[in-house]
Amino acid sequence: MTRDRLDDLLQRALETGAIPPEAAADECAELERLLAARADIETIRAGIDAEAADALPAARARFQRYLAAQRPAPVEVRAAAARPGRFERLFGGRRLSLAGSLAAILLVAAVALFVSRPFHGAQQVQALGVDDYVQLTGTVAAADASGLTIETAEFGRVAVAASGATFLDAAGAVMDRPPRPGEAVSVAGFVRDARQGRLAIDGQTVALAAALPGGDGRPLERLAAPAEGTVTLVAIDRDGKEARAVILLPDGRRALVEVDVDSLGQLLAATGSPLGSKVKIDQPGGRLLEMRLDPLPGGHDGDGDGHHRDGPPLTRLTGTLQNVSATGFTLQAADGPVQVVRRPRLKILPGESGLTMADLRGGASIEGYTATVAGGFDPRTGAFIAELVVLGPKP
Amino acid sequence: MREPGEGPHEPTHEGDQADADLAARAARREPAAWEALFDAHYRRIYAYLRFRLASPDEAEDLASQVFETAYARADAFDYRGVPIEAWLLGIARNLARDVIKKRIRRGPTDDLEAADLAGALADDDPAPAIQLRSDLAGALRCLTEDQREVIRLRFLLDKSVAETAHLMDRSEDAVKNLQRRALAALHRALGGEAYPAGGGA
Repeated sequence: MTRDRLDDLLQRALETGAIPPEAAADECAELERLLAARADIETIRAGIDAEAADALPAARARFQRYLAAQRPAPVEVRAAAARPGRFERLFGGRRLSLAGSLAAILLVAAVALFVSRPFHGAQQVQALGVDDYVQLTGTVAAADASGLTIETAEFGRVAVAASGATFLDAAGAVMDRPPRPGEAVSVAGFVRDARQGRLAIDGQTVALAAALPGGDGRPLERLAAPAEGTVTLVAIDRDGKEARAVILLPDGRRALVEVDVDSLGQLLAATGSPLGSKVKIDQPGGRLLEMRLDPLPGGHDGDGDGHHRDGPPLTRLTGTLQNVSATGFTLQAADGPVQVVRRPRLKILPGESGLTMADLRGGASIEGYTATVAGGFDPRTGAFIAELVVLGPKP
Repeated sequence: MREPGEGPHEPTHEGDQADADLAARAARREPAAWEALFDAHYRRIYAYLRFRLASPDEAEDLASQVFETAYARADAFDYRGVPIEAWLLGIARNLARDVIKKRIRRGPTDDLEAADLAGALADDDPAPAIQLRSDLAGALRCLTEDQREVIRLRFLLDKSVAETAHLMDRSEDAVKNLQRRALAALHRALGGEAYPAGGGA
């Protein structure tokens, strides 16, 4: 048995999947050991391949955004006018007449009227961005093997890819079937496409939920003053620096609010999902667009297990994170340990841990931190499938 | 200095006209060509990086950076038969090393090759670096970086011996020898019985 011969025998065994017949007994024994080691490598491939497939949609959206940003800006070209245009002639110097003045006044008035109206499309685009983590509600309009289409009050139809999603029933337990057309759902996931009319979300959790009030059908408005209302959507950008919410105001209007990320983290920790919670919008320090979502007493029932009357049935657990790995962790709760399944794209917010999003993205350990975990129990395995983790300080 | 697989080489494969056309369009920075490249290669670039880095988020971020870096350098890419994926893998390798070196300067890390780069093997029980069994993660730390690289390329990315030889700037015979020694070292590190030290070599 020479090294070269063994190299060749191994290569042939790898190519064919079988040990070459001419291998001697001692060579066979050695090749079996080598192939067993290769089989160990195979055990991790499936996991990595699944992670890669899961990461692809958001990564593709990021790259498309990058490509769009690289395109050269249009160059302004000034053409020499051979003769005055119609507009120029109308307002041009000595030829400005009474009729021209009236036309100008009417034109200015029309423009003022147009810009003072809520601009539906622009507000929609600002509400969500690619890679945002988002929770929103809607009614299932269509369902097939690839996912759902839901009708939302904020954006109309939204496509939800649900191949990797967990479906929860009204009690917060994992169910086998996707929601059916006509059922009200809450969706948590990541925005894949934020273009107007093409909104698409990679769903992580789709839960049957009580239908939230639909509002008066008017387009979104931007809220710039203290107010109270019901949360119908929350979104956090990829870097955890910006957060937005849509609030249904008592008079039926829907308002888009840029909220303080920490206050939204606190609300998520308190509720699991704030959808359906009644909140108060404040302006601490009097700074515009940096408002806080503060739950009002009675905004959710605060029964301690995360269920709140009008929101999605996410269960909320609190405890200390232990045995953290890429696939899960143990949550040491007050009444015992809970095994938690962790998705590759599980959203983790630093909360009051002292860590930053940059730390978390860099792989900082979350072992030993207290945390609130929102998700649902799988009755078949007894495991808890996490949708969101908000960290707290170490005990 | 160029890493193997990153710079121009003489053709090693018979011209794949479609690949060459795609490379030419990519060099002109046609968005559609880059979207096609991304869809064709992202998963394998992610897998390559994921095998090296402890954090899936970081692997995802770095995989995206690979394509952004490649796009920025598009006009410098000289196709001449070099598979595009080899070029992307070369960029991925350099980015991963930069990240790991920075992390080593900051403190302990779970990345698989960090121990080699730091000049010391980790003695503590490492957290699984991938979705690995902890014994496999520990065993991989006992391999040299060359051995891990041949495992990544041959058994994770399914590169042929010839492609691996090209990417590692080695002969095919050297790759065959290296893959045998890598598997033997892995088997031994996993507690394999009756295997001579040195992987039988």
